[in-house]
Amino acid sequence: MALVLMVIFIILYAMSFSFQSSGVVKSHTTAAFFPRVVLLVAMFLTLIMIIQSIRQGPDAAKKKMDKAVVKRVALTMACAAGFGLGVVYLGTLVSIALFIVATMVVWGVESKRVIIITALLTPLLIYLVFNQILLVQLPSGILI
Amino acid sequence: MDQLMVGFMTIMEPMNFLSVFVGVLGGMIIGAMPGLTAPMGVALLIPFTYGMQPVPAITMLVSLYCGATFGGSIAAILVHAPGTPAAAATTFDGYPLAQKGQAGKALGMACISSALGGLFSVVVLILLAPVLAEIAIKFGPPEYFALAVFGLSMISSLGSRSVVKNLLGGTIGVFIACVGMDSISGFSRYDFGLTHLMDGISFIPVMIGLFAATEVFRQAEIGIRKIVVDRKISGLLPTWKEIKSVKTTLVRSSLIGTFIGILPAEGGTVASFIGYNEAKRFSKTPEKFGTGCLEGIAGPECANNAATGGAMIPTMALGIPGSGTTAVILGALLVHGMRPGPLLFLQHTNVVYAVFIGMFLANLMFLGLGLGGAKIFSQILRVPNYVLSPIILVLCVVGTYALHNNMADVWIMLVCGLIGYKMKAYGFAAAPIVLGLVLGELIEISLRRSLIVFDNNPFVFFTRPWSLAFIILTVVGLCMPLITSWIENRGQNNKEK
Repeated sequence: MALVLMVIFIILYAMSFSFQSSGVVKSHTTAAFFPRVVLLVAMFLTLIMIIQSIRQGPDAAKKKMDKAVVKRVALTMACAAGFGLGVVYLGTLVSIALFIVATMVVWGVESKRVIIITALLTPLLIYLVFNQILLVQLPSGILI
Repeated sequence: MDQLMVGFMTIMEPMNFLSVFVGVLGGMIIGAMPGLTAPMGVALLIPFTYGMQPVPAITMLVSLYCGATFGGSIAAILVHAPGTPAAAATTFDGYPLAQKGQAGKALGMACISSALGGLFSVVVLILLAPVLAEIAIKFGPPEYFALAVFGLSMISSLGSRSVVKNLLGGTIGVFIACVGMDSISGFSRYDFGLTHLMDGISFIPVMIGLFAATEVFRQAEIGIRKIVVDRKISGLLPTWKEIKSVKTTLVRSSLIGTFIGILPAEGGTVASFIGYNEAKRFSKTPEKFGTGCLEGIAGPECANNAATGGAMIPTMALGIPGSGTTAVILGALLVHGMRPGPLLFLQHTNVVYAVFIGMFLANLMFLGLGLGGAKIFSQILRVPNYVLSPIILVLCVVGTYALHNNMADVWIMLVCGLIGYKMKAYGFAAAPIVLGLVLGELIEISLRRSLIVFDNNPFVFFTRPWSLAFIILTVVGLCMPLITSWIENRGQNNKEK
């Protein structure tokens, strides 16, 4: 993790050289000044993390996640991403119902009654609270 | 005094009064559910307030903060799982007392202690915040830079146990604040050619992603979880004699909690553990701690709610969040067009005092709701996580979209949720990142303005008394974990010898 972070910080630091500048002499007035300071601090802290992890050796205490758990988390994330896309194409209310059904199935909920009731009630409540009471616009998709 | 009266009259308006009630009720429900925290609740509630006036919106959020801080004790006492991290210390004596068949007494003591601690801290907030704002109004960019860095340095003790990870989290937050148009030179930074990023990354999607979406992914890791509440809540409230027996603990914890709350970035969790330890240290019967002793409930509960008012002091008066939750409240103030800091007291006096009175009322309200409705709130624990988690994610998406009616914010929120989940797995906490994000702009602007005004002289921060004082405090704050661990190690070595 620390190594990945270090690489990211170095790339971001290098990117700061491509920022536009008005050509003023003083460095602190350029857009790159502050991000560079912050990234240097971040790199220093990451270096400490790397040294700490070398001194402590491989993290034996770190438990490995069960394959089923990894699959469930990954599928939940996929459902979330699908929900985001669904909002764009299908509209909010349909996507909410589909997302809830998909997530509950991924999690292994067996009661169909619970799934159906939650999938129907949630979009209804969201519509009533946001659209009707709070007058907050819900995202509309291409279809709805 | 006049301003307090105006604040009182404002809060008594039906809409504002209702906001306090909804906030407290929502807070108690969120706090009671293990896994749902106060900052997450506040972040999720912000979208509901977009269309509201500032007074009901902000009072609803601070009321939720107060309600959730108390609500955490319900699960801590009934099922031995703290509803919020701030209630962790309450499990030590709350649960054993519930096991003895006195869950009602434990909940009653938690409720009374929380309310008294909260009320005390609001009084301190009302007295101290305006004074602090008056001092801070004289601050120039160097003082603000030093103060913000001090606030950031205090995150070393937040959330995760690793000081380096907390500081790195805060630094990442500051870096996120750099994305977008540079306010001094006007040139764009790290926008990756995306127009949306040229305006910078809004606080709200990041906060909702890090606090709420992350939690949903974490719940996915846990899988289906049903909480069984088998403890019957009898109506045995603590007697007057029992309340009197903990009065010294209540006074001590109120002071501790308020003081810890005032320290930038230190919140209810730290306050509750110190409150518990000090209650035990000064107790005549320390051996009874851990067996269901009332002092062991009063100490942490009073301290964690006292931290709520304390944390609001630097947030409102200086614009430096006193805790993870107040960092989110600070973001909400910005959404509603108010910049926290000394000028807030001049430009939005009515809102400020209405919020103070609203917070006072919130503490009284959860006292009534807690004592009267403990049985009902214990039922909330029965809602399974597989129903709650998808609904939370739906609220995350809808709420984030409603901020600017833009799907880009939704994607930022989901990416932050994913990053937050991965970072949590590696021991990083969300609160330092959010604090860094909130303070980032202030740090950058005040640093660069200081250098511009004082002709590129970096020693300006050491020549002005307030900024020097904050720098010294920063150094002390950063060294404190090292000193503490050195003392602990020395103590352990001595014991072994």
